[in-house]
Amino acid sequence: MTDVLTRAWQSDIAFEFRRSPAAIGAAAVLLLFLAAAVVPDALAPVPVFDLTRIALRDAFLPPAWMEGGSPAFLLGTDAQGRDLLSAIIYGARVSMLVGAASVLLSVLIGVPLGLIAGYRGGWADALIMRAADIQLTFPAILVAVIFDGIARAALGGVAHERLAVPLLILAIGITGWVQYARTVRGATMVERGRDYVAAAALIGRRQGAIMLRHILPNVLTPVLVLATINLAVAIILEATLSFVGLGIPPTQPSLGTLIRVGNDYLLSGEWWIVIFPGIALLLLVLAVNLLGDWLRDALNPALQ
Amino acid sequence: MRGTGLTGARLGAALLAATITAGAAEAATLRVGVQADAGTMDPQAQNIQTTLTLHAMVFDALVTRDRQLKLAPGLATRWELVNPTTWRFHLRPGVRFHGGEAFGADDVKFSIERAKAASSQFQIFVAKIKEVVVVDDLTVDLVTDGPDPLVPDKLTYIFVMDRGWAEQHSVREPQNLRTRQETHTALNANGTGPFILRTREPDSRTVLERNGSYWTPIEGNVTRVEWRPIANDPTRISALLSRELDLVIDVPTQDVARLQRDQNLRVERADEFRTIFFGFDLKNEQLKYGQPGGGNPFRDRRVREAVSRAIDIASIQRATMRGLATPTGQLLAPGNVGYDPALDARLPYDQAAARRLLQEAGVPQGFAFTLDCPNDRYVNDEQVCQAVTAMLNQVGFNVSLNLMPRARYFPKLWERDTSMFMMGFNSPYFDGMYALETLHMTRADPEGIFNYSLYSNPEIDAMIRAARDETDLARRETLMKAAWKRVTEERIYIPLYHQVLVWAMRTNVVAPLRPDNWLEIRWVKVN
Repeated sequence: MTDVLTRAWQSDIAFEFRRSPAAIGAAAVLLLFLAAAVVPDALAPVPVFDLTRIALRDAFLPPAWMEGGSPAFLLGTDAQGRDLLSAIIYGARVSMLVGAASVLLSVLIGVPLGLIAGYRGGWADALIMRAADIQLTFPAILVAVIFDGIARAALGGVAHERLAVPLLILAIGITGWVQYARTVRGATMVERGRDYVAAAALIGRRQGAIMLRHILPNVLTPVLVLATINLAVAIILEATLSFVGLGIPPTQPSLGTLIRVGNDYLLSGEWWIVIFPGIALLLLVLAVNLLGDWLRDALNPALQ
Repeated sequence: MRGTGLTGARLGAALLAATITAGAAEAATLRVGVQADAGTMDPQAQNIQTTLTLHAMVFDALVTRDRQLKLAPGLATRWELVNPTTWRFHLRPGVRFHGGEAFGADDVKFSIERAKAASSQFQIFVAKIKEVVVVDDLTVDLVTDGPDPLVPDKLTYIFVMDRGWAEQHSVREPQNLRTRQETHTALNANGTGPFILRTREPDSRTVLERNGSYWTPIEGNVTRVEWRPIANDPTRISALLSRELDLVIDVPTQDVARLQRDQNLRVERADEFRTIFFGFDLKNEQLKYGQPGGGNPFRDRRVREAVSRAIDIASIQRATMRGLATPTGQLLAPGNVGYDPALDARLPYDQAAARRLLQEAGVPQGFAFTLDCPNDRYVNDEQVCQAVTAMLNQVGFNVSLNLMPRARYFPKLWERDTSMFMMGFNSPYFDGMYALETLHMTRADPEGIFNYSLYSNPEIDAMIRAARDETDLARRETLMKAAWKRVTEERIYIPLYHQVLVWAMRTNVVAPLRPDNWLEIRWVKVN
């Protein structure tokens, strides 16, 4: 165990990491958000989804350090009397869940398709790449709008609300696969001509096994970088959709929903209802982006 | 009401002064910001205040109202009761529709009969009119089924269309919004009103231009109206602040304080004749959106009382409505005939009492159901419903909140497809009979046309009918008060508050506020 840790510590990537203050800072922020996502109950002062615990009496309290604020509500309260800090912690959890799950879905669709297109070539390649071209003409927002419309009509309000998170994951995830497919296809076409692939074919390994066991590990690095950067994109996309009312409903708010709801009070003086969720979203996306950039540089030998 | 009278008088004086000094010749555009658009241009298809306000610019009714809200001649110059069941209306000669067609008795007969069609939402106003008799081209007799002293009041809501135009465009019947029908009238209008419809882009922009050959001098000086629905509150207010709009008639409560501080804007308020309340499914044995096998506990008066007692109205008034609401225990605002101050007190907010009532009603654990609410119809409807959802959960109910835009919400109510719902109601023609008849009577359209709870109590029906058919006005009011007392104590609905109406305008705009939230465009002046 210690051996593994030592080896990890001495690896090139760990060395790069220690040398980059931006990466360290970003990782620290991300860790904090991860903790919020994993154990929100431990971090949030109030369980904001428990309707029996919120009181309209407490509505519109400013942050604790301002006049009229209450120490029980560090960042103040929203229009319903919910603790804003708790709402942000739970909201970040929803945002990260949607972001991570939709990226995973994109990877799961895009990587196998890219492998097949790159390795098999011919009509399979043509078919998958044309499908990718068609997919690119449907931006994620459009697909999300279509999904939302169909789901609302088919399920009705309350059922739709319960399924909002999986639906949003599906809408964002399904539009993101093209980048992965294209990246993996290119890398696979390069790897396909290598000797180790020819050797594996020579000893009679089946195509599927060659793709999975031999080629896949060698094309995963760019996927990792892409996934990290796309995580930030997916989180922003989720926030955008929620902001225009097509995403997560206010009963289980994500950061985007909190910003949408708070936006109503931007002109009326209760700035904290929109500003703090906005800052949280900014920090989260910035951290993911910085880490993604650093990872790309660290894994690219040409830059060193 | 008192506030409005004062405002009206002041505005009247200001207007008079302005007319003397400047005249009303110069062109002026009025850009009006509203939260949601009128759903159609068909004058008999949608009975919603916003829609009426826009339609009143294009159409005229036989009877209109003056600044003191008293009846005034419109397309009819005068009217009289020929016998107890016949009203005679003398029509204004020389009036022409925007398309050039002459206005006459035929058009009046056509429009009143059109309002009686199944797809009309104005049936209640003309229900007692049995027959429209054309005496000559400028005289019509309205024969009612029993005496109806309120015929002229009700006719203020019946806009007159040109019969020939309607037949030419096959819109003899009103557009049916329930079936999402599309007709020529959805986007086009041909009235006699002070303004002519020029451009109609639903949910985006409607442009109207002044009717140069209107049948009477127009007091105001507006020559062009731009009607701009902007759903998002901050966007609408920003548009006003950045001078993109001149007048906003749906001001979000949270922005009132800020707008009042702005030197370039004037904020006016009046007690609105609109009461916000909750209703329940009171008919079905099993709640459609409730616990399967849980029956319908709302049919028990004690459960409805528990709902009422669970609502912390003081916090809603203070935090959500920012003081722009008057809590109430009855469904009728002060200033209406039949209003009884004694019924205004709400049941006190008392969570323990609410839990006790649920226990007595045999549902000590509360029960699960869905609350349907609009999110773009009433002031802060979404926030109020969220707050009430939390409050009801605190006494044991398990409420799911179902929010939706008005375009989906009202068709759902029309189908009685709800277990608990929010509604706002104002009494047209300032008389409590309308609410009694449409909200409380057993449904037999037009009686009970807005009775979305499907409540039915023959005893209450009889009380309301007795008051309605009474011709002695003092006695009628006594009977109405008795009926109001009965329906209030029965807790058929749970009233929350009367809205306070707020308009914000640039300081150069003079727009008199009416407590029924009706923007009378003929009175608006832009300096």
